Amino acid sequence: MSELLSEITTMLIEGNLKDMAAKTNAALEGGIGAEAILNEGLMPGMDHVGVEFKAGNLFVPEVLLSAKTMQEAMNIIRPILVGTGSEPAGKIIIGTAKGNLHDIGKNPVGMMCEGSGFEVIDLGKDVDPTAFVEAAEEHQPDIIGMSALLTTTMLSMERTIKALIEAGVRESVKVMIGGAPVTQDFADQIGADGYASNAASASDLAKELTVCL
Amino acid sequence: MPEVTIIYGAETKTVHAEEGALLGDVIAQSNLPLEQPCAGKGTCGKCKVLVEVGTAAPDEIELKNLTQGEIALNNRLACRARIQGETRIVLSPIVVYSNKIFKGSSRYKKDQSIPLGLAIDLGSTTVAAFLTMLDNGEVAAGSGVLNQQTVYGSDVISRLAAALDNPQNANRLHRLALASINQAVDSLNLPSKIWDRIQRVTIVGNAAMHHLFTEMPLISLAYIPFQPHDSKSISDGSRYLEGIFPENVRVSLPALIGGFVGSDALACLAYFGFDNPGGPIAAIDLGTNGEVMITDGTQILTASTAAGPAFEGVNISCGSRAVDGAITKVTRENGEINLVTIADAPPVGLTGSGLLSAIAVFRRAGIIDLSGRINTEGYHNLSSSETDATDILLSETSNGIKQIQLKPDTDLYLTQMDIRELQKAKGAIRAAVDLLMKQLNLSPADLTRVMLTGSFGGEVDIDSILELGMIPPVKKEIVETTANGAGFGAAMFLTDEGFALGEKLAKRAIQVDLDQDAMFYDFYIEGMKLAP
Repeated sequence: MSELLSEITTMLIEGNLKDMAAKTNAALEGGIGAEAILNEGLMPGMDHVGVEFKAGNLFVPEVLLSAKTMQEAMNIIRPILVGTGSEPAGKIIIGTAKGNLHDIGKNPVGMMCEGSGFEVIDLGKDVDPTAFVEAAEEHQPDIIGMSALLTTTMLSMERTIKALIEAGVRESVKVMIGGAPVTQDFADQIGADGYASNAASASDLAKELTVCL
Repeated sequence: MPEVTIIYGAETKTVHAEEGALLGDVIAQSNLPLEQPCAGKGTCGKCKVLVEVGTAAPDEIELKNLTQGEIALNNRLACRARIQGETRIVLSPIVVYSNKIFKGSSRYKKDQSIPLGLAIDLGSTTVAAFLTMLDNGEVAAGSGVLNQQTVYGSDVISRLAAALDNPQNANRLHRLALASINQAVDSLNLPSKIWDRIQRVTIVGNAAMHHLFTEMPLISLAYIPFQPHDSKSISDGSRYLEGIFPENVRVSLPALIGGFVGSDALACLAYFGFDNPGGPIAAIDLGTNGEVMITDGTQILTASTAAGPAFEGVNISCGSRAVDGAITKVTRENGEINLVTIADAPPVGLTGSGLLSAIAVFRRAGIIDLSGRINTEGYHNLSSSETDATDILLSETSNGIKQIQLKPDTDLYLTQMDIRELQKAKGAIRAAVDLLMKQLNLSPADLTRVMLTGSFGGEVDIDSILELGMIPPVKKEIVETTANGAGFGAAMFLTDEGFALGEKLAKRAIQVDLDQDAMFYDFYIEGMKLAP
């Protein structure tokens, strides 16, 4: 049983996209619970990827592959987890800022947060400020995470924060932002609660921000 | 007691001062930064501030130490100016520098009849002025200074945000750009006789610089659709200059190509001959935003890609500006590493070109693998007696990050993170090049010339560029590097024919929005690999 879990861990780290689904199903058939697959199979892998990424030993292409590989497993176990009613660490809504069609940074953030036990609602790319507001009202998340890869779309993150204030939901949610051109100064300037420079730091930040709530 | 308001970028302080108090003393009270190295003699000029309201008229010493342009803009020496009535002033960044960046023919000194012009490259980091002989378009000298708008942030977005926030900030950013132009021209050290011969000025820059300079509405540029408010050329731009040049000087601002690609890129197109390329060619202006320009011989595509500041040695653990001792090249022969530094001074850090060549050297030695990872296993193999890599020393930082000592007897290290910064920068450039090539249906072998320019492009090691795959695999012979391509192109726009050429190119050049093409993402990931 623990052997299957450690194989899942290794597959996630190596980004073994094609075998992950079969291995996850094998684990479930072997009587391993979905929660154990998440907590003892995927999460140790995620932690490892996060640590190695922070140290620079793994880089964006490898992390993206690990993210995709993790999704293969999550697609199978997520419905089961919801059924068992296990309590997530918190709820996060993520999306790239309006005008930003690239999710190179956002996807690993989603994966890292999911790997840390958060429920992640991904609004996708090019998300309008009003869509963030509507999702915030509907899902009542703990955190909203936004990213921008191109400098030109950074200011639309500020618009989203303003829209959250106008809708009266800003007080009940923490906002964290990231993306290649984004800085802590910029986060302070537009009134975000936090900034993270990479996916691993983003999941750490999410944990910190939920503690503050 | 009159109220004195002091503005330093986003920070504003208000203090009360005695009538007649020295402005420098009042600023010191506010705890905002001001350098006064000559201790109030009025000679060093480091304490220049922009006065918006107030202060008594300048005395003789102050007038002697200010240029005509500075007087026109109401630049004052804080160490001499005295408070009179309610006062409001804008401070410049604390670290200003000026570099002579080009020296050419001094024919204009012998022949007094040669009319002169100034080409200004209004960059977001550096503002450069090029003295140009208008009879044949030859550039005589060039000098660059820090763009004083950096008090509002080093990135363009912070400046746009500040200007959008408050119209007074927008006007301050405009005046800080003028102050920087003044300073760039001043650093050319032109005697007044030469100054009198200046007939024309042309100013190029990216769309944000252009709009901040002309105080155009910024909404369309800062938000979707990211289009310029007005991209047309301005042939009589003297109204934007607040009298910093004499009235008879004709000032022009060439056209912008799009919201991301400005008149600085247009200048590169002119300088590199995109109007008549004689085959497919590519040009790259390397900077925080890298401009990529490619033509198949007829169609001209341009794009701007967010390379970040790695090429300028910023965000690199041992990065350095181009100062004495900065490493511009790293070589390794017979197991010995050699660091080439500016002025042969003891090494202090890596410039962008030094960073590229260091990574290429360690990649060649097998210490850095294809994915950019420092390969400790490979190192152990290499350090065995059969190999020659025993000179390369690996260690870890206190945070557990791997690093390579540049040379055994130095205290300089290349960390794993530095390599990652470079990979992001070069991945962004390569992705833009690959995407434009794909849209033009070109393969690397089709290119007949590849030109690299920019503050970093002028001295870069072509072998490293090719080995690390910053540009597609082409023959080394067709790659050229030139410093100041945009500045030299701007110099061409000073003449009527040159200006007309710019108009023609602006109509032909097409801006490609990288984020509208789904392939960009794949090219970016692929472009991070350290291989041709």
